[in-house]
Amino acid sequence: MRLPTISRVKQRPRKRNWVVSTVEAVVAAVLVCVMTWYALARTEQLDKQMAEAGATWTGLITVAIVLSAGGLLAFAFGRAEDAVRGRRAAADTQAEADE
Amino acid sequence: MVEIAPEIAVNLYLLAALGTGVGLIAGFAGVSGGYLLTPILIVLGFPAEIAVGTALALMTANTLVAVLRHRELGHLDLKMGTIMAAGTMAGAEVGVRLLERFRGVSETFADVGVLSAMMLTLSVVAVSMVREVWSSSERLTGMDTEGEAAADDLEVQTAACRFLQGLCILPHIRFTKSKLRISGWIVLLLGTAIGVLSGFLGVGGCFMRGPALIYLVGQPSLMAVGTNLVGAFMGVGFSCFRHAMLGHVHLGVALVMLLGTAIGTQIGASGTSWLKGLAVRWVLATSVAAAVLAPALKVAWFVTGSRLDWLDATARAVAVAQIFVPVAVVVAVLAMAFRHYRGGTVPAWIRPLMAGRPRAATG
Repeated sequence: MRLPTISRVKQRPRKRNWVVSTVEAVVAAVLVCVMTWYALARTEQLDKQMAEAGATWTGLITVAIVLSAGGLLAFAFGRAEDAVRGRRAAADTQAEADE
Repeated sequence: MVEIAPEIAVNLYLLAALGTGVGLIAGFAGVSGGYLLTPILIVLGFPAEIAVGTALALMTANTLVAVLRHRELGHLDLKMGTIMAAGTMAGAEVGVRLLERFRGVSETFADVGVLSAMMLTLSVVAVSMVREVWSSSERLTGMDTEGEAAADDLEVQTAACRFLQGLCILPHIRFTKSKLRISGWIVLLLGTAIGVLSGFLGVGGCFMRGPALIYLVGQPSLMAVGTNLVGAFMGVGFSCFRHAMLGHVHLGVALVMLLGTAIGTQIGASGTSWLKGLAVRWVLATSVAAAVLAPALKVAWFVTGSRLDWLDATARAVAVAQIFVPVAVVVAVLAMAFRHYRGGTVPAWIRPLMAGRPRAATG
């Protein structure tokens, strides 16, 4: 009997349009850069806001920011890979059509 | 330059470059890299508590990137990772309380205790790993081409993992992704034991969890990489939350380093598809063996009455240098794998470690 499993890999549907994938990757990467810039440029302001929010909220907000940045970067890399594959597939299709 | 504390500024490019190095090892060998990162941040001038908090924040984000990447590559057993992580988190609490008891005796006693335990753990893991990968490499070198193809992933079947898999303590869980069946209690207890050590030593515990998954549970090496990271993600995420509550996280530094680590992790994780599981074990063994020296020097410094300043300085220098050993090994192995894949010639001794062709993402 096959036992149920939660560890089966669910493949992300591959986007065919490489232009959309590229735009998504760039937007996600830019968002992370903006977050980084803000955290560096407004360090004192952020610290003050965190102190006002209280310890638990500081912890939660910090973890949320860190996870968002990590998730966005993972998303950006995934979409960049899709874009490269899509671009290659488009080039192959074009080459076949030319022949 | 970013100001960490009054009169302490660090170059952002240096931080990003260090992050890339740590990410490369994290993605390739499936470790969070905390045991390399925290000493470096301290050497760079970060106050110890900020170094620990910032390293934890970085590791939380980086392990998430690595987990998602390994999930795509199919190197992830979420069921086993979750059970082990639950044990690790419970064990970490015990480890932290144990450390508090040690601190109650005296600060030096706690430091010597932690460093000695770290040195002992690293030495045991390093020696057993080097012995195993050495014998596996010799067996693989002796095989002909067909044998190599058949043993594309020469996986470990130690007496310990055969014994543990044979123990019938209910619930006996089938881990489909890992292609093995073992009692859930054994996985949970192993996680708890690792958690006690990681809580006591103040590390993520990847360098212990990875070998435990391979040599005690019997998980395939590449699958252990992703599964190990699931445990690390949950553990360091919780620790990051606790440190952030105390205001020990420098968010800007963590995010700058994350940009570097994310790139390194992608390269490292993708590189595992060009190589056999044995190559990953070699890198992990080298990395752990290189990490033994710094705590050993620090213990020597404590034992000599904390008077020999040159010993302390050497320990700090070695802590920084130890990151370059595994990074250099990973870069060299990946460069040769890339060359091999492109049809170029590579040294005969490393050829058995190369996968015949890059593994496609499994689904």
